[in-house]
Amino acid sequence: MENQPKPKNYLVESILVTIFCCLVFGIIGIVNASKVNSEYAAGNYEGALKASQDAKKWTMWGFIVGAAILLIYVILYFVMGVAILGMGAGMGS
Amino acid sequence: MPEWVPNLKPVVSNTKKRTLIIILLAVLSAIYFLYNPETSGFPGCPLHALTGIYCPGCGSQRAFHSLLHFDLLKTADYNILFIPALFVVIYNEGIRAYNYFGKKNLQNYVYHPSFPKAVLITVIIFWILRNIPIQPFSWLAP
Repeated sequence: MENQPKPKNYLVESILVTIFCCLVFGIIGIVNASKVNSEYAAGNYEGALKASQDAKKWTMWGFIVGAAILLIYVILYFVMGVAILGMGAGMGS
Repeated sequence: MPEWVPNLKPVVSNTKKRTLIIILLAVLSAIYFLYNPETSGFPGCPLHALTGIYCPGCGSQRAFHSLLHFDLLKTADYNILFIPALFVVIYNEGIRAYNYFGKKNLQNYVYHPSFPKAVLITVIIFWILRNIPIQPFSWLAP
């Protein structure tokens, strides 16, 4: 146990996902990041590793969904022109 | 080795990742510097569009635009968590780079058992407060 390195917790990635994209993915990422740290502190290396892999999965999906939304938007922007996008102006994030 | 040092390599030590991130940051910064998300028809938050609820990330595009124009007051006004989040990102990468290049073992508080819990609680409280439509809470809304 002493020699097992602490797994990456993906907290920073989760925060970025929460702020720039997808709340749900980001929040689950943060919860798993928390689990990585606490399981490791409790001496449960396997649990920490599992939480690390979960955190990676959720943040990765957050980035993929964010990139996909952006891509769809860029395509819409060029295909349909600017007029339709006036609707999106001033909303939300 | 101290407990909170996972000894991860910094992102900048990976040539491929570094190039990718620099290009991405440069493109995004150029876009968000030149265009105001408020008036340029950028994609809004789907949650806000559907429900009217502000999520903890709402306002971050406008915050980023303001930050690139060095208007910290506006940045905080659009999304006050944007600034501490930026600090966490820089801190984490900074510590990792320092430990890696300087061959040091400085503790990284991102790996402190309580730190992610504190982040989670902060985000949830922020989420609730910014949706209360009375002052002073409404100041937290974007």
